[in-house]
Amino acid sequence: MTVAVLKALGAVFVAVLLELAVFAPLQIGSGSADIVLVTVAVVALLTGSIVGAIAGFWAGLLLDTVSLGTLGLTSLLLTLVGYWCGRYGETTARDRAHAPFLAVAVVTVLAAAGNLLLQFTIGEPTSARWMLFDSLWPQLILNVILTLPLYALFRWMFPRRTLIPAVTREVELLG
Amino acid sequence: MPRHRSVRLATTGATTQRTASGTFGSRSNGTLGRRAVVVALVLVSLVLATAYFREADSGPLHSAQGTAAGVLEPFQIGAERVVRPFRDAWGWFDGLRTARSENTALKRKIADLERRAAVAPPTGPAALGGVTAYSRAPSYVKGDYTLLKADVIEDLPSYQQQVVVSAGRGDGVKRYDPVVSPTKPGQLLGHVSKVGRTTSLVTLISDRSSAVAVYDVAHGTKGILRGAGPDAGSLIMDQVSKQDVIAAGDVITTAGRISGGSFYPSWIPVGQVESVSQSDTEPFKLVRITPFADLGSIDQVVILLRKGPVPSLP
Repeated sequence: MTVAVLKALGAVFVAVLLELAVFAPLQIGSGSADIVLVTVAVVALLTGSIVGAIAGFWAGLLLDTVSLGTLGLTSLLLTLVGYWCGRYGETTARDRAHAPFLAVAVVTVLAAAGNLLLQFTIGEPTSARWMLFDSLWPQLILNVILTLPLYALFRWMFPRRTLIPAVTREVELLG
Repeated sequence: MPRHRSVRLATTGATTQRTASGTFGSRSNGTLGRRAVVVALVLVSLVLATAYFREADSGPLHSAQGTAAGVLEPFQIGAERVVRPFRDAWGWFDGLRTARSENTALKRKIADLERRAAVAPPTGPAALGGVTAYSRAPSYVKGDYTLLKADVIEDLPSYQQQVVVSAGRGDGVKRYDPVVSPTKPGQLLGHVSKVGRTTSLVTLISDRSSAVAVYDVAHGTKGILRGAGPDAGSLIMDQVSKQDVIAAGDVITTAGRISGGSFYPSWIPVGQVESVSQSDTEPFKLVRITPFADLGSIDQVVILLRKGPVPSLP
């Protein structure tokens, strides 16, 4: 668990740097890929809800720090993203090929809605139409495309055998 | 019944063996632990956000954030330098794609500006007969500001219309300092809205929270320039009454007034009037402004550091 957490924190740190230097300025359509969100989602899917939530919290803290934003807001959002993806990975998504793509698509939409809600809550002027329509669709497509290489990379970084116990037991009848 | 399946397993009708999930007690503990971790992280996030939002800019969380941003800055600059050639290459190819239409538009703009160059701008207070002293406001063109060049080290998501630059409190940057482009003359980009130890947050004039007092050079009409967000493509010049004269193509500069908490010295070029319209129901004209600066692609900025005290409301 500790090794997985450390690896996840390192992966998120690199993702934040790449987000700032490469992905955020690279506008395609009116949106850009969110490598941090995809990283948190994929790492959480592979490692579980606890590591996912910690990775999400760390990612949000880093993003809020370097962007001089309100500390805690992005952490809140990405912690929930990491936890939800982790639970999805621990339960129904296990061994399903479409799971990472579905998870990333869902959290992209939910994160945009959550972000908009938080912006309104703290009174920041923003455009719902732009966040939920104009920029969301390009971002959704780019995030799903980005999922393929990142999932392959993180499957190599987080081998499943080390995370999910391979011990099996027989089912015992009650009574 | 396959040989590798036990009788007990066969009785349940299961086709595969299940992964061990431990006893009820350990599973319950795992669930509790998992929930405890996420609840703790959510609570920490909420406490951080609340405390940060309520404290002053000089508070401990702001200071810690500034220090941490300073520690992370070398990593950001390093990453920026590594990818800059690739971004430039992308920009070059992208520029080629749009060069032809831009060339036509620029030729039209140059011809228009040359036509308007004959119109002399107002020269400020002209007739001061009998006046023995004049306390003038800080002026951009008269050298009342030190110019500090800084790199953009982060573009925030487009809906925020803000960038983070590599200069902060240690360089003499203060909140509300005006920010212009590194071109000559500097074109208005925005103002400093938050200052860290080595980095600062610059809010662009296209942000919805931005408000700048501006001036129509050709007709002397004043108004308030407001950002319309990333989806608008142009800026709005507000508070222009229907009696005021303003026309498409007019050059707009800052008016040297305090607005939105910030003081922008006069004569900073802002943009050009794109269209003017009015309706019977609205009290003001609807004036759209095309900014001179390309607000979507800023790599460097110049921060205007005041040499003297800034004018403020009593």
